[in-house]
Amino acid sequence: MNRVLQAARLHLVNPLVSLGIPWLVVAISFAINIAVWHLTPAGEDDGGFSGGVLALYITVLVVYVQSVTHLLPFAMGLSVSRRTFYLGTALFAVGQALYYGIAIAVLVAIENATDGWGAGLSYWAPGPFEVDTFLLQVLASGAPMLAFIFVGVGMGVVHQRYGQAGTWGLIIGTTVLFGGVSILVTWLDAWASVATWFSEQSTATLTIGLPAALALVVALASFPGIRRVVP
Amino acid sequence: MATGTTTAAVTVHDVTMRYREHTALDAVTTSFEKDAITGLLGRNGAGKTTLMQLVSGHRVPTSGSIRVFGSSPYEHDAVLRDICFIKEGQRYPDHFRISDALTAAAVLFPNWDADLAASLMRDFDLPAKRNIKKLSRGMTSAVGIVIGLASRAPLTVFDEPYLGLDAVARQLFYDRLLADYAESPRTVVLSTHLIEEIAPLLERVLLIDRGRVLLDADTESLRDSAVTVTGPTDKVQAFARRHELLHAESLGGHMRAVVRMGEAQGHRAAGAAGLSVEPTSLQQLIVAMSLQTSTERASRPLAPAASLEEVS
Repeated sequence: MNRVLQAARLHLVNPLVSLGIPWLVVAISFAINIAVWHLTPAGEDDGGFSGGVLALYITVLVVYVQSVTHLLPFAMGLSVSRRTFYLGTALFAVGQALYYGIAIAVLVAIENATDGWGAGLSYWAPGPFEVDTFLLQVLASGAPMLAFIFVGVGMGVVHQRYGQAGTWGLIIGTTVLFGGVSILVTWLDAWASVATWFSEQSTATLTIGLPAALALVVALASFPGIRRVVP
Repeated sequence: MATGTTTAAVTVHDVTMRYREHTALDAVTTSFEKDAITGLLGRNGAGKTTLMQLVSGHRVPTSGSIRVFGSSPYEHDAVLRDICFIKEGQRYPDHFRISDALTAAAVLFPNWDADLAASLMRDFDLPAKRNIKKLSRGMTSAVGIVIGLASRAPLTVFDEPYLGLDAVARQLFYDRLLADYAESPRTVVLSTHLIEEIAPLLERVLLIDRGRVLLDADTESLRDSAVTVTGPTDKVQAFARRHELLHAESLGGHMRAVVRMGEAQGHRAAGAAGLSVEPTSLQQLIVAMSLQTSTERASRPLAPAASLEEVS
């Protein structure tokens, strides 16, 4: 266990980039949204929905791709086993998802207290991701973050294990998979049932349960990949 | 060839490593003696790096077994923490400064010696706050050397650690390695092409060629294992026929031949034949042996490979 903590600690050596860049990116996106909402009547209809916060999630995803492609070869150079690096990274990921969940929940609370930053902007928890209590908000904002993080880790593992070809293969494979599924659903004339299924799920299932399940599936799927990585 | 496990830090038994297109190691059996400095020698592509990757758990052999301090190193943290593998071209995270790499190493190596690291940083004139990606090739190598020495890992493996280093810095590395090794003995494995430079450091030599062990011996016995005889071609040829010839080159009517025999014996035998005799340096011996096998391969492509091993 001690070694896993040491591996997790690696993520905190010179963390300025990995901790700072996501906030820098989302701050720029947020500023743009605030400006647009103040200059236009965007906040007056549809509850002022904005997907801008996605910038934070995607930047964190990219940070984790790099944490595997950059930090893993270095960690292995310092005699950390792949498994230990993976567990340390997973531990750090859970901690970070929690930290982002809390930070976003605080921002949501401010957002609600200031009537959407004075412009009816619903930025930090758009649409169904806004929930009733602070604790639930931590989970509803944090669980998707965990999913994004593990997708990033998984992409990093694929890149590290199979190189550039693997990354392209992953992109093409994912496109084919989702394309195939949507063709299948169209062919079965089942889009209505899909929509019904989603509308029948509770907000908690959609924002917490499904992302957490996705994170777990990707985490389990990428673990065998990391075992044969050669730095 | 095999040494008893009691004195071996690393044992490699019948290890074969096959990549898709070629065989990097072919039934290699050897060991690295505990608390000794072993030189891992061989031509480019001989399989040196692959052997070091296997010993450090970075790769898994296609067949055979690797034991480091009694256990397989692959994914075994308890063993890995006692290994420090400084490889050529180690990658560092993009924004890491030298001080960040040292911080990480201090966390992960249980025997880390911060004082030693600081004094090595001064010796090699390394700027702690400089981004590693911005360092010259030689300075990057020096960072690896600092980590390798200050880790004080019971098994320290250096893969061509001197790339890009100037002669002064290389000498500094040899001096500091020897000084620290004397203070806290440990098992050191060094791969290198600069045989002449490093020869005085080495206690053992492992020479591999095309994935096979060509020579596995202590340097003391090697020092007196071959002589170079020079003289008229016909006389040298006649002399070489009676002994074990490793390598010969002729120029005009003269010939130089590296022959396997002790120096005293060489002086007696060759002196009687009217030839001049000089000791063969480690580098000359290694070159002679590597060339011998490549000419044997060229002239007898179907020769059973096992015959090469019997040389050692």
